[in-house]
Amino acid sequence: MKLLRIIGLIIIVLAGSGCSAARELNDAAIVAGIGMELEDQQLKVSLQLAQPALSGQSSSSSGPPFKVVSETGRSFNESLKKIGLSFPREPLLSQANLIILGEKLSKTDLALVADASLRNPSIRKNSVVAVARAASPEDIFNTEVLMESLSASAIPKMLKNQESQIGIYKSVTYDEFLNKLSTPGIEAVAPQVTLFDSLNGKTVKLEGTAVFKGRRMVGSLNSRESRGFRFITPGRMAGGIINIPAPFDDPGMVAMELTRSQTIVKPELQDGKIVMKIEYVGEGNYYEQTSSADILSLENIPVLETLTEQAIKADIKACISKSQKLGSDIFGWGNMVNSWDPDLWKQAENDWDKIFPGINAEITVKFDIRRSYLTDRSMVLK
Amino acid sequence: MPRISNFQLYAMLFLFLSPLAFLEIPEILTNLVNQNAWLAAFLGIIPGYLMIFVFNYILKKSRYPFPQLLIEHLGKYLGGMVGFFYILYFVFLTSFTLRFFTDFIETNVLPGTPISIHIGVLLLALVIGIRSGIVNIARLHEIILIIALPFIIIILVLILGPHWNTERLLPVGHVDYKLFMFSIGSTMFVVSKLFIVLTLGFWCEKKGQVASIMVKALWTYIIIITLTTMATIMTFGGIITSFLTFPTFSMVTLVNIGNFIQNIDIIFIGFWILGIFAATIMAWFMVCYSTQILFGLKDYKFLAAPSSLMIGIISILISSNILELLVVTQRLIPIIEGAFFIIIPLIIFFITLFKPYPVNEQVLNTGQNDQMGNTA
Amino acid sequence: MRYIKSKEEQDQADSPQEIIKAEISSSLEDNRQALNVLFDSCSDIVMRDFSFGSPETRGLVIYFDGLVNKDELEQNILRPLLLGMDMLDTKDDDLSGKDIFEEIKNKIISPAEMKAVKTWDELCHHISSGDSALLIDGYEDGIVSGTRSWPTRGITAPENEVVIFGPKEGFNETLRFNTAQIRRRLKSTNFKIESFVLGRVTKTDVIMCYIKNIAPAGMIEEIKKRINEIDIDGVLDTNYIKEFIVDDTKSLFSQVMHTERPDRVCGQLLEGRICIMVDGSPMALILPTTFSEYITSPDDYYTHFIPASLIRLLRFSAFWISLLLPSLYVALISYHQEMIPTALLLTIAASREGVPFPSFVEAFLLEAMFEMLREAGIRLPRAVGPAVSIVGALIIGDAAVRAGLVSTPMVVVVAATGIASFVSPSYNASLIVRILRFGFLAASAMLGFLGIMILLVIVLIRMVSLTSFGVPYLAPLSPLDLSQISDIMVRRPWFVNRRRPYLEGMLNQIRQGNGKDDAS
Repeated sequence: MKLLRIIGLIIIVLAGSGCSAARELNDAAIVAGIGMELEDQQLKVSLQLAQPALSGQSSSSSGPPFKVVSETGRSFNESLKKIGLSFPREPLLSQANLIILGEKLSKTDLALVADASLRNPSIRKNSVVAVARAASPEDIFNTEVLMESLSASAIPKMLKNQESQIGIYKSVTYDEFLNKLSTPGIEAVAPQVTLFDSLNGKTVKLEGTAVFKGRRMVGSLNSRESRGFRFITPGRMAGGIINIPAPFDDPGMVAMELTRSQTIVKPELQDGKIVMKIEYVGEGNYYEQTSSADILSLENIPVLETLTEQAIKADIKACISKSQKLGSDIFGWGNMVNSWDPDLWKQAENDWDKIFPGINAEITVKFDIRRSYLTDRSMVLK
Repeated sequence: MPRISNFQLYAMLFLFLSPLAFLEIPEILTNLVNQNAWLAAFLGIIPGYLMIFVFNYILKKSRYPFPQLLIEHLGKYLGGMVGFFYILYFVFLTSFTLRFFTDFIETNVLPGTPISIHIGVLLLALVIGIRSGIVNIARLHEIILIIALPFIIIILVLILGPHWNTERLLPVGHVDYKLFMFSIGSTMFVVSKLFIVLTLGFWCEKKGQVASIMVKALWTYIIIITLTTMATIMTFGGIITSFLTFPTFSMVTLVNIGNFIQNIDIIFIGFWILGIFAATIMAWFMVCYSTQILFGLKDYKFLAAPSSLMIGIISILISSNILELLVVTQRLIPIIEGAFFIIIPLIIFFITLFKPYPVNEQVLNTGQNDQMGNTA
Repeated sequence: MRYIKSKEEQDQADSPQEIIKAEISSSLEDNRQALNVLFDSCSDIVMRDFSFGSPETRGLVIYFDGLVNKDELEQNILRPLLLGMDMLDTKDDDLSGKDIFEEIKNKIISPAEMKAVKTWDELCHHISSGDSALLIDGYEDGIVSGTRSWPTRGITAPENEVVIFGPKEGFNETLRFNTAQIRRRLKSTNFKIESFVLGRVTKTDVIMCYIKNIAPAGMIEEIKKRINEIDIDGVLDTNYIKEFIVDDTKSLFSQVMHTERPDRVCGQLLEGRICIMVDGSPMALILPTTFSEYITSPDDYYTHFIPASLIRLLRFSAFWISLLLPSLYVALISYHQEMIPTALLLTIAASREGVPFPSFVEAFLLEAMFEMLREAGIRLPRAVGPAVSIVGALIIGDAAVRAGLVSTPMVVVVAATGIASFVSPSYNASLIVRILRFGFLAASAMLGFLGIMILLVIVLIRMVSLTSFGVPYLAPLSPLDLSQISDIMVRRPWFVNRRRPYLEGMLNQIRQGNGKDDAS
């Protein structure tokens, strides 16, 4: 028993002296976003640090509530740790909710950072990933966003909100992104962030979806194609607005709100060729019209539905033709073929780059109008 | 003679199988058969039933618990020698479990602290546990199971909810059958840990129900491990899972409760340490108990403190880096475990095949009951 | 001085030690001398000489002033003796030839309790307990009559175990009143009270009560044995006994329940438990007890079962909060920052900015301060209490935060812990929580959450190893008993509670229906 107590005491003393792993908040800095970019053949890591507002002091006097630190080096970790040469606190990477990949880095080679970020336990794998467009991650972090103190926390919120409002881009988490990078038969995408001049000075904006092929970025989808990508992604989704020209030679527009939809994609073999069957079933509400004509009526509903279906189909087609042009299988069709017929995939795997651009897609879209909010007839101005 | 309730036996068996497997099985299996790992994990039920049959048969044909059982069936000298090797093996198993877990903590949670401190602190708790005796160890297992099992289920639900993506499990089949058989074999090493029933089964309140308890423990283990493997594959896909050193852990870091609580990995480790504690204490108890019986000592409790030093040192020396440790996990452990938990029991099984059932079992049992009555 | 005095005592013919063992003599003079030796320097002893009857017989009444009801003594003993000898059926006032002692005992004096004693030891014990003794010249026996009466605290509501619904009576310091309160509730011949006298000096009455056909017989014997082994100079409170009889005397976990509520005692007796009480203390011991004491309170059973169950859940969470909250907070902010949501972490970081102490020291100081405040609040006179809480809580707390010595979230955490610790229905049980809290704090400072869990495992081992009179401490949970566990986590409605909680060796487990009645 005595021996036990002595051993216990020794352990406690050792453990007490070994508490170097403890990291007080006073010695740490909270990282809100991590940016990676290639600069002069070197990796540049930028961190957006959230500056805690001291209670009792107004934050407006001390400038923006964040600081951005960057450093370049030959590897991700060298750059990251080099920050310590000019910065007194330890950055807490584990709080970062956003990872911004620089445009140049994306276009060069993602292998430069993929391993480091998968290995590092303090990089959150469920953080949102975005690709910078015509701006460096550092600039994006240095930009103030309206109503939100940090651009790094604003961007994930913007992504999430736009998805239920206008419905163009799909938010991508880092683990999904890395997974797509490493899985054959599916390519990664990520929404792009850019800077633009607004009334309130420079601010950030979502624009485009970066398309990767293998380990590098090969192009970008515009907003229409991005919407198409969202429609074509298998599974359920909700939210989004789609504009269609008003029927019957009316010059106005009609806006439809998508409330929920489901997409099913299945590969099929027709005459020895792979054909993807894409089935989109959605429903929504009549949301707006810009003319005073009496459009919404029982007879017109099928017409409106058909017009919406055509619009959706056009978006999907635009997206498919863009990705086939870029030669990047962002839809994961190869993966689907693998799941559906592994033997076929074994034959096609090596030639997939050649097969993919030639794949035909059979698209069926079904759209139903359900409700029309507060008016059941169009407002007629006289 | 200690007395263990049915539920306690169930808890001890389950907790001896699961905690390490929970961490290593998804990686081992995805390495071998990629997205079919969950199927291999599930089919572990077949070797499981086989082992249960073997152990139950030995249990029925033997008069004394392991390690006296070895002497009973193998003779005094051979049995004693094999028993001695078992002691060494359990020392190794204890050290390995300890090392694997502390290495895991070292990697993921507290990289700054030396590994010897983690081992030391755990050993301290373990020694206190061993010294309290097997009855209290059994009660501890019971509580740990009650605490940990709901927690694991909650974690699995939290993971499977947002990451439900059955496409990542496809295509089912289409795999090298040799590898598939091999992967089912790998799960056999885990289920063969039911071996400890050869000691514990004799102390169970209702000896006739030991087989059904083993089956229950096996099914719980299989369900948990299949779901876990499935969850890791659905979350990361087969390929990334096979890259990850501790896929289960990496999966838990993705849990996101209401966009507010994230990175609950440390809570997971905290609860999981209970399971590791249970598994280690059981292996260590086997060391102490076997030593007591084979060397004819009075008690096993006092062996805890001296053997702690040995176990601590072995667990530090077991390997110098993580890859070596993984090699130990994936190559060495199956061989040694196969020898001690599968081959020797099978040999004993064949020996007992030609032996009659112990005739005086009835008498023995009533005798035991009387004894229990007296002590109680 | 002592040495000299004892020398003098030795010189005397009879030392008090010898007298006390001796029997009462028939000569009143001898007895008086013996009494003078025994009660030397006892200024509160009253010895009243008198003569009565004819031929005149001399008598002596002895009592301690303040312990007896003088009215009763006068009315029932002295007056009948002095004036009422004629009540005896003697024509010639001649008592000679009659056994005066028996006559007096049976016909003259009239207290309800009366007893003849033979030894000084017995006599002294009785008069010290408040009885009065009557010695009659020529007889070797003394008559002891029950005239006990001393100022007592009335039956008040127990201050430490306040309930909202249900009985409000509490025990007081007089053992008889306490047993009366229990007997009033358990009108059964099976309700047994066994008494012991403990304490070489104090000679304290100790009782053990149980319901004969429910409580496990083996346990009763074991407890009797343990009580009889106690040899101590004084027993002033039940805790003296508790420390002798519990299974693990070193363990901090309360293995015995303390209560000052007769209704709680009765409830526990009905569940087959055993109660020990000591004269002079309002606290009753109930044993065996288990971990459930930490979350159950008697008024659970006086309210509707659903709110009562929710309140139990609340107590259960409060138990964990009061045990772990500060250490979890320290572990989170100094080891596992990744778990804290960013917005919250920013707030915490902002308030920690400029705090000079590491978070562990900060938590430790505040917790220690809180414990001091709590202790101060108990001891201080009522008039000063509010002042202390104002100075302690408001001024020190607020000033410390303003001065940047401690961070606001830490104050919130410590305050929340404090509130949670007051939820505990048992003061005695919450002591261990207060101690362990500091242990967990230290563990979390060393190894973060991991340290907390390892300490928790050690505590769990200690708890499962603990037994309270043979009952495992975590009883319905480990060993697991599904039928019992539901009455711990929730309060089972009475109509479901058909059986009593199982105790090893319990004689009768059926509570309702099934024909078997165990009342009467």
